[in-house]
Amino acid sequence: MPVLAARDIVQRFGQQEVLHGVSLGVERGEVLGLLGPSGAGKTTLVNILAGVAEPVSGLVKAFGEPMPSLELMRRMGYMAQGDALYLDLTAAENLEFFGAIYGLTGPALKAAAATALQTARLSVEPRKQARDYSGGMRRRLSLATALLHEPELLILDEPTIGLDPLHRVEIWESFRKMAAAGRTLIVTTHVMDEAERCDRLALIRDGVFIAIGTPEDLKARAGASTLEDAFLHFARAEGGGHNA
Amino acid sequence: MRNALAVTVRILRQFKHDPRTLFMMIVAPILALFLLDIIFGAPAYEPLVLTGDVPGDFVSALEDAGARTARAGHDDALARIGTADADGYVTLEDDSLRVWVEGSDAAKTGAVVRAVTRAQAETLVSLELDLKPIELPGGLEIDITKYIDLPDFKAPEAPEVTYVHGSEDMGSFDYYGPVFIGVFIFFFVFVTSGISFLRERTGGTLERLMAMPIHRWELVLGYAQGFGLFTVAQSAIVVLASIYWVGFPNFGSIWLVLLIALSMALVSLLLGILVSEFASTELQMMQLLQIIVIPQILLSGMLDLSQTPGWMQFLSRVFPVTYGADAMRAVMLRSEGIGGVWLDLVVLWAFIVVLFGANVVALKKYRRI
Repeated sequence: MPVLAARDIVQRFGQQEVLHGVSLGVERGEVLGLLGPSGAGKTTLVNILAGVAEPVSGLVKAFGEPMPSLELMRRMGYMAQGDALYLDLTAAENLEFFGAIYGLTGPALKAAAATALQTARLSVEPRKQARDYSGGMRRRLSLATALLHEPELLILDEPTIGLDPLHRVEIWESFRKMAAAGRTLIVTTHVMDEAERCDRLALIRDGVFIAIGTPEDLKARAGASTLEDAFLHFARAEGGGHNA
Repeated sequence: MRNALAVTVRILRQFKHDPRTLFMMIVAPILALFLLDIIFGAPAYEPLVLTGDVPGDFVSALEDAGARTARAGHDDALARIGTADADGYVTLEDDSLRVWVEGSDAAKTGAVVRAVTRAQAETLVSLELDLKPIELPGGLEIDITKYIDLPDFKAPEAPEVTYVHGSEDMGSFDYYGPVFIGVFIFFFVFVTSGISFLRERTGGTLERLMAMPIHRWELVLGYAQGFGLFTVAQSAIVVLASIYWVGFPNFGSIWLVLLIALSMALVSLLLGILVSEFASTELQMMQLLQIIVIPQILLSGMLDLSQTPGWMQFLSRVFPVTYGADAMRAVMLRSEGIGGVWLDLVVLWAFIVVLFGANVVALKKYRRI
């Protein structure tokens, strides 16, 4: 049973259809990358997977149960494209608040926060409000708040945007470690070298998956040496209808 | 419930990190009430009335009636009134008084007319007293009052006034004060809570919360508790400062005043959150404030509406502020107890319940469950 499965997701905003029936399934311990340019529908899809938005038609199941459901959300972690932090609170207060919603308080919270901050490669200053953090630090704090309750399924929308390359590499190492420990990740990106680190990639363009497969598989099928070239190949062929 | 508590704690922490907002929400209403108290408490305006061809005792009667006077010729007087240098001009034409007024400020016009009318009454009275028997050469006396029937003028004595409520010392502002206290709390809580929730939406944290195991009602309750606790403190400080420092009269129970203020604040907080739904920027929030809150304040019964068209009185009855204002006045001025204001409180709490529900439903836009 896939940890997360989406079938025939169609999403429309007003007259404009932004997702034209996409389907995907993610297995336990897998890192699935959603790769595509901005405006392709990545965030729309990810919001639907996280239960923040509901599609016009189609079905999302997490752990075999239909979304959205508060019980399922307890087992999921979601990091939005925006940092979605309370900028007037300190980092610790942000962690405490988000932790409390997952039932973490006291020593359990302290331990969870320490682990999450370690994973996100962030050391926080006690009295500093989040608004005074740099963009990259906020991004990592946002990631830490999503990791607090050690979710089985993590949905991360552009988690490494604006980070320095060293942090980016380290954070991807943590993602791989989490996957190795049996946790499942769905990560959107438009950075090719991050896409290389995914187990499987779904290339998304104009609201459809134009190709799906392991990075090596995609490059081989396109006869390309880089993912960038492979993406161009599939975009020109405009396959459509591929399901992950 | 635990989630609501987490939201409450978070909101109180946000207040703690924002001392300026704290300061504004407490000091701004007190400052406004203090200023209004001084403005309304200032002595009555003394109009400058130019006098033309009128007897000297009329002029002194005018001054007794609270006007400043100056002699002026007809053309000069009209010119000075034309430039608002004087408020009025009074002269005798064909044995009857004629009054010119500047006219752009109804309050000043009223002051002129009142002074002239009073002076006229005074001089008529003294006219009667002047009708002494006339002594003619040769010791003859003619008492004309024997031959003509004069109406019996008597200097009006001040009537004895008994205060059922209030006291002789109450200024005109004291009638408005209780309403202003409620209205200012309502206003400031609306702005703060509305903008706070707007930020929750625009900052992406609302969306994030909707991806977390928190019920919609827990979020709304958390807000109500957080702002509720804060407004308890705010109302208490504003009410206590108004009564004990600015010097508003309060003839009722301070606890009841606080309960009414808190109820108004809760209505305002839930209304602010609901209205923020229709704003996408803080500027738009301020625009909505002008449509949602200002009319409520104008129609709250702060100003007397009993002679206004029926639809306006109906509208006033639809707005929650009206009930809060009414209760505030009843307690602070007429020393009514809970028995006198329970209906107002019931209406306010009905608004609270309905608005709470409306907020929970409005959040469905972000998550169905």
